[in-house]
Amino acid sequence: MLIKSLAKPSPWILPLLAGALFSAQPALAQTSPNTTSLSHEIVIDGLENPWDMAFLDDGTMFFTEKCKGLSVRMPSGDVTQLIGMGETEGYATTAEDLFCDGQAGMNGVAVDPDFAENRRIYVYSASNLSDPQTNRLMRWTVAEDFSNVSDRTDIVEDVPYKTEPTDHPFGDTGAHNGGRVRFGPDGYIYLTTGDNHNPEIPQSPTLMGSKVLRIDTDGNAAPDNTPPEGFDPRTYTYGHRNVQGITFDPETGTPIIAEHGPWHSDEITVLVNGGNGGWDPRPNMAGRGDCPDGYCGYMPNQMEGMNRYERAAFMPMTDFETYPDAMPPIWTNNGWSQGTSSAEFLTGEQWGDWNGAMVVGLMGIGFGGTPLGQRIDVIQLDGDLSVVDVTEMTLPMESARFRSLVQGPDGSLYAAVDEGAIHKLTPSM
Amino acid sequence: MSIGKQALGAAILLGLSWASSAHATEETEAAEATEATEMADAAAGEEIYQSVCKNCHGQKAQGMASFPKLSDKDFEYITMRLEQYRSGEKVGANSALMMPHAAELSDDDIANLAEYITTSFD
Repeated sequence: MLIKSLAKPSPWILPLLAGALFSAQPALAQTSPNTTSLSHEIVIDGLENPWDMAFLDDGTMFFTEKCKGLSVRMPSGDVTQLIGMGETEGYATTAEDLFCDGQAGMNGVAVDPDFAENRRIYVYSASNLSDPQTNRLMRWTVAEDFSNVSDRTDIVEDVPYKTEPTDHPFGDTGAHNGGRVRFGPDGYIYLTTGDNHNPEIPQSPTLMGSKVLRIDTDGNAAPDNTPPEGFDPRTYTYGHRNVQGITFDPETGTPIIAEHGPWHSDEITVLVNGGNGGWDPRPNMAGRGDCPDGYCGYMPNQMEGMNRYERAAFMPMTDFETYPDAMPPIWTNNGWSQGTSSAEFLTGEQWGDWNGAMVVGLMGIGFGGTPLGQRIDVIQLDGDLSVVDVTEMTLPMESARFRSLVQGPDGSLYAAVDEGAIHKLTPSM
Repeated sequence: MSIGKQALGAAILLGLSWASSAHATEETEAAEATEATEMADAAAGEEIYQSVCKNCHGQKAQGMASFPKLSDKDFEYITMRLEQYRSGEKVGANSALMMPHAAELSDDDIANLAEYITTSFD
């Protein structure tokens, strides 16, 4: 016996059906002006919640698993487990203070641009070294033979972690940590963070959640950060909800983020030094009254579906009325919230018409009539970094919860999915 | 017999009666669960699971992100949770996502899902 949603297809199934129809005509789907035909292979399978990857020029790939730790895959395919979390066994080094809980755990990883000289990598994780617990950005040194790591230095120790459950969707402890770590073309580290379901964090000048931090490799603020007076000088931008994607325009080096929306309005935003993302979920302001546990982020009607534009009017992702100078999003996912998680630019002639386009990974959230939306979008920007075209990538494999997208040194796009694999998508035009 | 002894006797009888009743209830529930398991259709459960549930819990019910692993749960647990969500009872932080899905399920659907999840994965 089938559930009603199968007899009468629900909105989140329709894209699958549409995909099935397209797959019956691959030639048409693969040769239209905005698509590139892709081949596919699974690089690694059987992982537990892979969260991020970082590459060396020879194809060596560091990757994180949210509840296990950091590993490295050599060009030969051999994998060495480097940093184990908590009591995880089998890793060369164990960091007992690192833990996972709900959305929190080991997230982003980045390789130092001078890795060949200094062997440094950077990893972001929840840690219980502080009381209360925090998220930390750690710097480690990788052994010459990639067999181990050493010299841990915590260069950011104070990104807030959600320590108490609250009365909200996804309201368990550990929510909204951001977690992407990337080096910009300016040589600084950009670290994205989240709001912990804490109404005070986004607009707080000193709490380092809901920010994009821009720091050097010792954790010091980039000297030309220009946050408002009184802000922590590590702040590059603030007023975000939960940023899990950041990439840099290959032409200008401008940082661009991809951000989850709250039951509506995923956003892509071009960052401006010192800018405000305009997220402020406090109660009793902007026309709102009290909210559950003092956080209005999913209101009104946080437990049931409703018109997304009415939601946006009540609790805007970017509140221009309160913050007229907030950074405007360049894309809002047609008003939907579908779990936008990562962003990357495709570069190289092998990508054909997609050379220079941004790709965004969506994990899919089929809540309250929202189409599930697990996909990779290819977003074409013009010279002013405005969106001129959005195309859903025709995938050469089944769709999934796309957590991380990274272009490898071979020019292929690597995609980590929550299902437990890292895929490699290679253009064949 | 004193009043105290009468009261004690009554209490014992009541206790025995309660214990007997509770035992009978447990036996009834176990029998119903066994019957539900025997009647369940894993193939029908698979069709539902791989159309909807896998999007958050994973193709192998391994759990993903903050969505829990299901492959280690037993038939009664999955049945109970789906019935709770179907009735609109808030159970945990993902209730908002679960309740609309569960609201669509019949008793047979729930049994079929529980059968599929508990018999198909390591």
